[in-house]
Amino acid sequence: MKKLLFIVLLFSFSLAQNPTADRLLASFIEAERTLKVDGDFSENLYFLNRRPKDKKHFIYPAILSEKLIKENYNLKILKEEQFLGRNVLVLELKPKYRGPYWQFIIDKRSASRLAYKQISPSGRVLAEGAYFKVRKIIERINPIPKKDLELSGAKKDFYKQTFTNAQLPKGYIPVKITGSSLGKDKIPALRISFFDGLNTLILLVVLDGSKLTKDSEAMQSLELRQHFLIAIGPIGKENLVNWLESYKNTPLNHLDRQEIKSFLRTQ
Amino acid sequence: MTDYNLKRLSSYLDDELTQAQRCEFEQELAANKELQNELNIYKRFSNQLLLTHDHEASERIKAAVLSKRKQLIWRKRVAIFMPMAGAAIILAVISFSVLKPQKSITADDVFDQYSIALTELSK
Repeated sequence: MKKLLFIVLLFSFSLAQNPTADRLLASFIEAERTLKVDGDFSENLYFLNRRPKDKKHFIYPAILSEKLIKENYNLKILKEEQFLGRNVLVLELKPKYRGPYWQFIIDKRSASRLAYKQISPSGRVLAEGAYFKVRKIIERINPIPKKDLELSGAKKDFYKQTFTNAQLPKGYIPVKITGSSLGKDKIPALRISFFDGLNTLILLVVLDGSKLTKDSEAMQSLELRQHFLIAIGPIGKENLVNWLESYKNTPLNHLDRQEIKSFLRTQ
Repeated sequence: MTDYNLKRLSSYLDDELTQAQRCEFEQELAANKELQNELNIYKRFSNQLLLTHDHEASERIKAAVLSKRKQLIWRKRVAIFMPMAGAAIILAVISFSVLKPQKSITADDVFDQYSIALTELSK
């Protein structure tokens, strides 16, 4: 028994103390903020059946949070190899909970990302992006500022009051609440973004009774008494459905549309 | 009252019909309340006609009877159709406000929102 405990402790210690992967993550996050890869690339969000248009750099993942990644993911450098004539490291981030995992191909010299893959627990590629030509890697004139992702002030209070009891998928926190309008009909909605360090989920609370024409694997909807909800993200249909169902037990279910609209007007 | 009925009533009251025509008219009169009503009106106005013995006056009275009848018919029609039309308008208004065509959200609209959310977070 003691031997087993020792092995478990040793294993946990080795996972927590992975300084090379940790250092690579820190450099990679800093490079995402301060450097720019000048080159040609392709990107495809398979889980949404969409290819981002007219983008100058990868749009996915939106941002990286070292704190959340360390909380929610195990890091591992898989290998060192050549990619587009450069020495690169393959960094793998596997979630501590059931969810998609990530592989990043990172330029060893600059720590810039040259390719990535997001893969479902069953092994399906959900999203991928890769440079096929790199001209140079340069410093950004205006580095992306560091920011605190957590909600604060009135938005935090509103979230707490309105969404208490919602069962968020494990590891996710709300990071943004904003008003939005959907499509050419400008359908009003409340949009909340959730983040686990790498993945982004969004919840749309539609404020005029309009409905989504068709659900899909990565887009699920639910009609509450007062609102129509749409959840989007790469966590699988079942998780999205369970997440949405949990809003039946939140104050949102009894909140009038006008109250949400008045909150948005004050923001 | 139509000219045709007026003529028949007048012939009937003035005893200008043959026996067969009279029998036929009386049968029709017994079965037709409207005609009976018209007969009463005509009788009332014929008294005035008898009093006047004036052709022009009698024509005026006939015209007045006709106009009065037309008014009555229109009032009846309005009385029947106005509430129906009103109900139809109210129903249409309610249907439009309650069952107004719902706008629908497409997968593209939702993807745009996801894309916007990613861009906002990345800034």
